[in-house]
Amino acid sequence: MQNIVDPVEIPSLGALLRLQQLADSSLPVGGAAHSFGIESLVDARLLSADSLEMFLGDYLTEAGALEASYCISSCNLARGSVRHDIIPEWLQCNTELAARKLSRESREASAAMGRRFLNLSARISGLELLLQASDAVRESRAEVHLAPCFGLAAGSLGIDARIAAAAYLQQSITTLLSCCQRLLPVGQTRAQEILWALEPYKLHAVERGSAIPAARASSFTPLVDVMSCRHANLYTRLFIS
Amino acid sequence: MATPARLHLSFESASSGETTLRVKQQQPPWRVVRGFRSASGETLAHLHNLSGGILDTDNLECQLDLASHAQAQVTSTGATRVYRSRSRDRTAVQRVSARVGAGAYLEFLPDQLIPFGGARFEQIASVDLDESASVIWWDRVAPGREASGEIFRFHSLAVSFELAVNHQPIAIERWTLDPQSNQPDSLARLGPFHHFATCYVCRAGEPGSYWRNFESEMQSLADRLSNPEILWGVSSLRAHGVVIRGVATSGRALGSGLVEFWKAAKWSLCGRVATLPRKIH
Repeated sequence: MQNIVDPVEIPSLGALLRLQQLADSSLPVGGAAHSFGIESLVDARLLSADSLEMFLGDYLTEAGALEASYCISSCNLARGSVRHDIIPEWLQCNTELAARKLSRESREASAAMGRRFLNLSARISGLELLLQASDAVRESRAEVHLAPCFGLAAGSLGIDARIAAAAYLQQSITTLLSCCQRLLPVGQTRAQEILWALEPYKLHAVERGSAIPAARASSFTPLVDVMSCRHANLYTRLFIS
Repeated sequence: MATPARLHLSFESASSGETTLRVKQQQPPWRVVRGFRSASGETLAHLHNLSGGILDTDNLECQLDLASHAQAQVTSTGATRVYRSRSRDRTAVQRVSARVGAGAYLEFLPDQLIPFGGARFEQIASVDLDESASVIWWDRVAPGREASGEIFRFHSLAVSFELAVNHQPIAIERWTLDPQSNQPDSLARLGPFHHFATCYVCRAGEPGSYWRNFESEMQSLADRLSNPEILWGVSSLRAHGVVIRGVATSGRALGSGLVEFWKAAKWSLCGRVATLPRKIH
């Protein structure tokens, strides 16, 4: 597992603080309600506390890199914009990501979180691009997803795209780990150990996500997809997805 | 990269209501003999690969055009075997593109893909549906020549699939399986399963509520067919269709499950009884 070697653009202290706020896993966008198929994996006795770290590492390599690529492309779109006409391109990027999310529950979860994140970040920041995007989504009833919304917000703050993607992955994997703590016998200390150990995977996912355009990013998670499709039929469910 | 070997098939709807197959172009190793009338009304075409499999220098292209209201069923004559690649710069490529005209119906039901040990293969497929056009499209991948213990010994398998309605994407798959560097048996990938399949069932223009009901109906079948050796899941796409996905420890179970879904989906989608392409009888 290699670390990123190219230098990243260090943001201002103020932008960094704002990024930290948006990347907080306790941001009220609904992340705690979704397991993205992990609940079904646990229910089928496929995923255990012992295999969790390896699972999350490979999940980052596949799904994480895909999400990172859409976060990066949206961030770059926002950073390069001086006009409002990036919105159609950004909405198309969301449409493409929606088509890549084959499982309905996971797609709807990502869309619900994306919409809430966009509205919240537009409201608290007052940034013009985010307000325009929020209005455009409301008017067109377009489906937007969390990774591109996060990228758009980070780009509007002038954050380097790879820093944005790393923060996004840190947020999403922390949220997933918290879900896993409710499903598996994983304590607080073990959860922090796992999160720490996953650092190279997060960096690798950022590197993979930035290496090629989002439209060409690869992700291979057939078992998680099948389990996500089966989630709606679980007898007892703690999570919406 | 070698010059592409092209196959271009056009399915045209005659005034009698029957569909005529026209082979507009075919270059070796592609070979299509003629169209057959299937019991359920489609015109059936078998795609032959005269090489017996895909070689590392192959660059294959197949274009399927369905005119308005044409009805076609396309299958292969046997499993698609991808032979060993002799060097890193030799990756076999196969591209399939399908354009399904208004009110037309396409079934694309190839046999399983078997990448041999050392194979490097890229499969690219795109399907574009016009208004009211329908498609049932499946894809099935084996881990290698299992009987000789060859499981995930290929170098790389890259798959790209795009399904669009009026040029707007409704399903996109893009993945690379590189068993040497990314373990297929990771729970994030296939876990204990070696075989996997995907089947898309779509009709342009049907509302979301139609597909939610369709999903429920197919999920009941998925529950009946699932057991510890095989798992099926069904989900509505973002619009115009559903996807059925399966992972299994055995290719046989996955193949027979796909046929069950195909029969149920075809009946539900167009009220016609699915008849297996006759090579299977």
